[in-house]
Amino acid sequence: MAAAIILAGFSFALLWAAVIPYNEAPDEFDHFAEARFIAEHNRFPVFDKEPDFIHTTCYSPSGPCFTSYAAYPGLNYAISAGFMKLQHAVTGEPYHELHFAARLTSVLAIPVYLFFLWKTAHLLLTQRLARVTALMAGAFIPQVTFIGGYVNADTFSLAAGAAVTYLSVRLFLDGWSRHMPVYGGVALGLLALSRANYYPLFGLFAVAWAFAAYRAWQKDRTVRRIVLSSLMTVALAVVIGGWWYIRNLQLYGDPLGLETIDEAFDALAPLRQTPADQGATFTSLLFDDPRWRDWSFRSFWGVFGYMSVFLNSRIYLLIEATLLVAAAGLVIATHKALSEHGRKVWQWGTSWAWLMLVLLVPTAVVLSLWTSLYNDYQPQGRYMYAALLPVILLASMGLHSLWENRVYQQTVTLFVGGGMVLLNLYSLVFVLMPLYYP
Amino acid sequence: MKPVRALAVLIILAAALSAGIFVWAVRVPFTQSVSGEPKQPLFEITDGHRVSQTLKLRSDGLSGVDVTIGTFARSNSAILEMTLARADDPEAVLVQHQINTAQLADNAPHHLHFPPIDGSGETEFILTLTSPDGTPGNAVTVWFLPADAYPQGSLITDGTQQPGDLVLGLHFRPRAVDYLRANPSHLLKMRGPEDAWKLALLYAVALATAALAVGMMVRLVRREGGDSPADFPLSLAVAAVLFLLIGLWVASSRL
Repeated sequence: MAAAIILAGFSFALLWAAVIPYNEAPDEFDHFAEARFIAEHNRFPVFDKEPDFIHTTCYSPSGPCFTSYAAYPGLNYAISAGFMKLQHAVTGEPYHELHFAARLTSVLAIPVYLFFLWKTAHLLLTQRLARVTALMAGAFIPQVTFIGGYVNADTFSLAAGAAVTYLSVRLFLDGWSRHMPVYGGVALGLLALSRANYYPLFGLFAVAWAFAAYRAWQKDRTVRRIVLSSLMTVALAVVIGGWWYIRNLQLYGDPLGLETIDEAFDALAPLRQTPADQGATFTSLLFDDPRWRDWSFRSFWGVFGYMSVFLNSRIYLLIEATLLVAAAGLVIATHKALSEHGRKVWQWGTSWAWLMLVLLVPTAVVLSLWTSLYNDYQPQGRYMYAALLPVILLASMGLHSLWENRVYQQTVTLFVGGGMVLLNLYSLVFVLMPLYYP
Repeated sequence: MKPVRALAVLIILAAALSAGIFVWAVRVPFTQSVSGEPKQPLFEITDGHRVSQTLKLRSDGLSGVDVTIGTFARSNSAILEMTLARADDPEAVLVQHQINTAQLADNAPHHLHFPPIDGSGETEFILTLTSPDGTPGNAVTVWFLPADAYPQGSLITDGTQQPGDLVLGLHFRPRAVDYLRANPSHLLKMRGPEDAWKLALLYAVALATAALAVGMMVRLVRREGGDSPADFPLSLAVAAVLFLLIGLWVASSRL
């Protein structure tokens, strides 16, 4: 059954990729330009140095500014370039027309993310219905399908992040396995080649690793295995993901590439001010700026185009109401577990895994706030997708914990699963299609 | 027939009926934008000037038009009159709207909303703006795009066709059944037959896999049911009623 749901999630992303016209999604031309450059030149572009590539542009000395993604990790673009080269070899079509081929990286990342969502749900949710609710929700959230349908770095990051989340939960629950250093190293290496908003997942993995190491040390009191496994994981992650940062260091003297972009902006727009420069703070953005809150929330679930195409506002209200019900269920479940088992719950890896997943949610929000304050004011839900798996799993857990009644349990799965499929179809057929094919 | 099976059949019939009512009665709101860069203000619309934009619409259910009005960053008091008529009979005005320019924000879209015009698809309309009491220094303007951003229509000022188009938002609320009937042919026109067939195939695959996923989910829900055989039909009925109520609640909103 999980395979059928994952296949459906994949085919929806494929359909959306075929329906959404090119560049009707945030900065798609910028992402596509990088994939095209790699396909045409067989190498990554150098930031602001290529004659036939996007250069930093500022529209006035106080901004706004616009630049390429050349300083950010480019593995996802290289994969897109691979698909473009394949299509070019088969059909002979020019690279600048191969938008659909470039989108395939995003499309293919969707089943990978869903696979790890399912595996994580298997570890954390004991009820089968709760697991199916989580997978159905994760597969058909319109925003997820949307990012799976255009060229970007988010979907690749989502897939790598989902793998790291799964491995972290496994570490909490089962401790080390023989293959964990290999799996962990590969997943962390890919995460290192993802967008910076997914970096909190390094923290999650580190805590899970420390937890598993402590448990292992308690068991046999040997440090050697812990050190060797840790070194192997880090070494593999560095081999897979470190080359990009070494390249950046050599080219720009800046491994992350962020300062390079800032310097380019400052040179062209010396009067540019971030919201923080204008006096905005974390609390003012979160509590006094309804636009930041609303847009972040709405675009977590479904806002399309260049953040310009919204769903019916009542749909967002409905999602809010469902999440509130889930939150009530979580409070009840937590209270029940604590009153039944007391402090004993902290002896279980499951409790620690849940706690860390809960903490990921505010961490992702704070990171998105930080980006809006110190970089660019962009209240976008996808910037918090490091917490997508936790949100889905917590919502499913909460909804199914509210009431043990069987009719209620069945209704929750039918309502959330069926509802998400309907919402996804509604978004495509009645929101996007009329817009692009009126 | 067992009561449980009868209930299930009843639920399926009710769901099919609800879906039919939904598609027949519910309207699908969407907006078509005529925008872009560069754009610029036209002249002051004073008495004697007439600005028109013809609109050849593809869709049924035209329900509103936005024009971007500039006040020259001052306070005006003239009245701006907007009318909408069929292009083949411009004297028979379908919609008339008088705007007190004193209340307008500078360079902001002004919304003209009206009940959906069924049958507006493939029909040509003309939107006209005049200001009978507008005088130089006390009149507003509208923004336009010098490039041809809307090939289906033309900008006409004082009876002469001009290059470019007004900056517009065209709002539609066609009935879902009309939209679903017309959309495939629009798709065919815009994407070409080869692309449209590929899309149709992808639609078929997506719907088939979604049906498979939902079917397997429903089977699991049934298997995980409680002791009573009535549990599953009851859950199905509750979910169906929830979907129906939510569908009607969402559809009754204009936002």
